[in-house]
Amino acid sequence: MNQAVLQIRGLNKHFGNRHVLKNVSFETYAGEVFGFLGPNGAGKTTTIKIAVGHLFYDEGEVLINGFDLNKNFERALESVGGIVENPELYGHMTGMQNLRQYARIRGVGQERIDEVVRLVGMENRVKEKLKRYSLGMRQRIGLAMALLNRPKLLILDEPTNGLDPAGIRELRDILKKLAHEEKVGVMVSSHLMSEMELMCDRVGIISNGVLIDVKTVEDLIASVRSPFMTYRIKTDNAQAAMETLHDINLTPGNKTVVGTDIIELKIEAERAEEFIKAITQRIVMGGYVLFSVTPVEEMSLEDAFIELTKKAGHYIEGGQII
Amino acid sequence: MMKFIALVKNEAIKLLTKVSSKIVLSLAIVVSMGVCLIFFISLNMNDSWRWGGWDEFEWLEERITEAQRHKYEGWEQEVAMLRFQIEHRISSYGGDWRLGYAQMAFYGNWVRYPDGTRYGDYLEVPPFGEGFAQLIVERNWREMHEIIIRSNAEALANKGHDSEIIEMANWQYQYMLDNDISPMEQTWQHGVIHSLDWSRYEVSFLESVAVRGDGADEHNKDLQNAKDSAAIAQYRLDNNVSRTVAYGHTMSNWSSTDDSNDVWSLLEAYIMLMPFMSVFVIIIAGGLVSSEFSKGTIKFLLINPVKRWKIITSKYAVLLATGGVFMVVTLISFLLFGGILTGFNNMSAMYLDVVNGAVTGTPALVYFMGLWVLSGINILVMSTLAFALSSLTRNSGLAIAISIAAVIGGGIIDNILRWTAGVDWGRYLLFANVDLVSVLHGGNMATVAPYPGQTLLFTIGVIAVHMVIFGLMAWDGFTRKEI
Repeated sequence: MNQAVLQIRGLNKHFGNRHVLKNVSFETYAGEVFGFLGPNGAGKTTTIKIAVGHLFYDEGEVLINGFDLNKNFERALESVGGIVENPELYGHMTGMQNLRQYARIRGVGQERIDEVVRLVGMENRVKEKLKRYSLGMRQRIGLAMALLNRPKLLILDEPTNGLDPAGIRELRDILKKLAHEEKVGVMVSSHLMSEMELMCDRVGIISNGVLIDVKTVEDLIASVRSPFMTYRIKTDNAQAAMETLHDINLTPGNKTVVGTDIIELKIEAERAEEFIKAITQRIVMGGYVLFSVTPVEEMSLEDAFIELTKKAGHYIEGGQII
Repeated sequence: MMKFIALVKNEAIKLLTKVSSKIVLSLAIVVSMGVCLIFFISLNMNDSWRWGGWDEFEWLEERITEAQRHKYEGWEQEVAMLRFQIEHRISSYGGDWRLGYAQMAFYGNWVRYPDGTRYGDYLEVPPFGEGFAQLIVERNWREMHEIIIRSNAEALANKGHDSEIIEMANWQYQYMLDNDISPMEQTWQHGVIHSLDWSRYEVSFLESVAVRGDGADEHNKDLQNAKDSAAIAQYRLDNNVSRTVAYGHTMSNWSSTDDSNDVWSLLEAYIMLMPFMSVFVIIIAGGLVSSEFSKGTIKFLLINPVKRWKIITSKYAVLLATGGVFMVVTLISFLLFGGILTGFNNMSAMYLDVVNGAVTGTPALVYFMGLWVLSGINILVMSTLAFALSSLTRNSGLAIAISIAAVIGGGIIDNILRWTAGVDWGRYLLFANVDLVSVLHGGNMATVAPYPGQTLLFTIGVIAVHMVIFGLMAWDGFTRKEI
């Protein structure tokens, strides 16, 4: 396991009477993209703001690159780069002037500025005033700023906001490259699970201030996916073809005829291949035409995610903290 | 330290690249030049009193009619005087040299004599008559002075005064004769002679009275002041110092002589109005912290590995530099513009003071720079208030509005406390202490008059306490609150 660049332990935070972070603990390691997933208001941004020193916390411990945020603020933040909420920069200055502001404090030279500007593909627009930028362009300059000091921990709060699909893909590639090749610990928050799936190695799910689970993306997908898969088989005579399948036992799945030419099968996901093979053979041997076999996604990742976070809410209402 | 320099540089660049700060600076320059022009015009408006369609001499005609109708005591003399004024166009306001002599011709002369019994006793010398008036028309001032000297001496001798008193009463007329200083030319000597005459009389009077008990200190102070004034006037006459400056007196004899038609008179007025120039620095100060919050840029600023107090300190450092730049730039544009308007004359004017019994001179520029720096304390304190409020409330509008209200309303609040409510503790408030020039030299039209017994040390103490409070406000607002 790589070194932990962000360690959060037993973090508690109140806004007045509202308990917004409840005993949150997790770690982000160098060389991975860690996704912080949760619906709006779950505590993602609060956690991120605490990690960069914008908010103070009531209880717990935050270590960045091994330095305690409260005891060694400057050393801790030296290895952090990030964007909190929207990348808000000085509108009356150019992109380059904005970058230089940041570079001066971090002791970064012009060479590195040019390098990150190229990395985010802004070399043609960097001399323009920031107020002329679109949100996507501001995201790019913001990312460039976050990368200026070669951070060990890169924290991005909903970084795909305002980016076009090509921009999202680019960002994804940049982040993956940073994590996997340059061993940066990247922490990304989002409320879009599909985005997380494509970008992250591990995901922490937060809901109502409670960190429900931390898993690899594969485990997460597997855990929310139903054990059964539904397949639709198109043939010329559904009723008749169904007859040929009478001795194939899909229990506890089932078989139904939909319309005149469709058979719908619910198959145990782990044995799907074996069953499909047998079923298609039967239909063809029986002399019927097999047009297509199409899997039907039973529950989308988004649905699963909502399900998951709802469940957490339920537990909390019951007074039980997972 | 390097990091702190980088922070200060960042803040300076942020401010310099803003269009609004350039606008505020330009506005400050325009206002300071506008103030200069207004003073120049208003102080030069003494030649004729034809303001708003009002004609002085028409009014004098009306007064003649009035006098003839009511026939009050002495109306004939007044009518004669007014006729003389109208005939020879002698204004009562422009400082016409003939006015005083005409009054002697028609109303008579009042001679002060310091006999040590009553302050301000006068001996009335009867009107010199039409013959004297004719001398005025002929501009024969030597003959006139001789008549005055003769009449004064006669009147005082008749009352039994000795030669010392007679000499003192006639001194100024004699001095002008001896030194060939004509009253017609309205030279600087004229004013100095008058002031020396008055100071000599005062010294002589005060020395003749013995005061014991409570009033002794006050009496000794008055005597010392009179002696100093006399010494300075004598020094000016002996050393030919044509122009002096002193706060509150620089433009006082503007109307009587051209000698004070210079940039120093304008500068004195400017220093009186300096508290209001702080408005421009307040506008900058009020936005320094809060604009980072309103624009959201604070999030990128505070993700840096820098403790927050360093950031707020760097912002304050830039505010101090900004205040300095504003003061210097507005002063230079004021001086240049004022210099051009008045023709850069009297540049070698001096401030004269008596130190250990000897008259010492300070160049006017150095003297006014001292006052200017003292006035700058006002700008410093008020913009610090705006800065602190900006940090505490995170609202530029509120910070600027409260601070400007404090600049403008401070004097009003002090007046209410002092005169309406009749309390004394107003002296512990900022408003009564913020203007060091007024504490040292007395209040003026734009500031608060000092409280009795208010010392410079006390004032500095009150300012220091307020500055510490403002500092804590700024620090608390920025470092202890969440974003």
